[in-house]
Amino acid sequence: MALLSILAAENPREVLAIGTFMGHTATKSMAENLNDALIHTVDLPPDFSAQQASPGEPPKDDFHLIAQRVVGREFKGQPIERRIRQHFGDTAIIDFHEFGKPTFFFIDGSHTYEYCKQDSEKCFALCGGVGTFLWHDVDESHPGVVKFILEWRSLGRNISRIEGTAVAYWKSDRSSG
Amino acid sequence: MLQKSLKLLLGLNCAAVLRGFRLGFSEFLKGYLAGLIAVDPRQKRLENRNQRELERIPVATLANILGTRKTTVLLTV
Repeated sequence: MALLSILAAENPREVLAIGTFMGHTATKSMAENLNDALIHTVDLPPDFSAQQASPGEPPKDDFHLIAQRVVGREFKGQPIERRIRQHFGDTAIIDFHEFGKPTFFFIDGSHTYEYCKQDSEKCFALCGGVGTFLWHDVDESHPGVVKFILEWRSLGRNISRIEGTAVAYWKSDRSSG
Repeated sequence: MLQKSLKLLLGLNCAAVLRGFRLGFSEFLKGYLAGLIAVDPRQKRLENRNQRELERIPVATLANILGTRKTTVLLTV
């Protein structure tokens, strides 16, 4: 609800949701609440398995969820699907320029510190430092996400948790560096 | 604060005190910590640490974030 309210208020032209999963919250609901925005969403390839992770990659988590996924199930075949661009790949490897020019980011991929950090930094670079960022699972069960957010806060980035949710919010501008 | 201080007493036990008398303060400390961990497992302390870290991130209300902007949200089931 908080995500969608902020999304509707910001009314971005392009959105990037990292972590599609079934496609319900971050993709279908976002598409339904924006009249003509393009929603990019990325998830690991459907046939990904934990054994595929190579030693050089940052550590992942949520393997049980990865195994359960039917990526994009909730929006496939629906009218809103035409405004959703499903991308497949590991965000540690994929070129973020594939995701267009989003200014609104919902970061809910792997929740390790390493992934959260690199996903967020790539999003920040993609929008040239001017965008709206929301992180999911900012709670005591995801210390990597919390650690990363505290790190960005120490840079003077005024990120806050949204009351009653596990979502953190930050709107950056050109002075955010 | 009182609860925290009382919690620290949980590690005190005869074995640790005797060990301290015989082998010195550092050995008392080891025994004390072992006792404390036994009654207050690390997992709980780890959770508490995660909670404390989380609480370092300030909380804002949605109303504060939205300000004067009014939004209508469509929710489908």
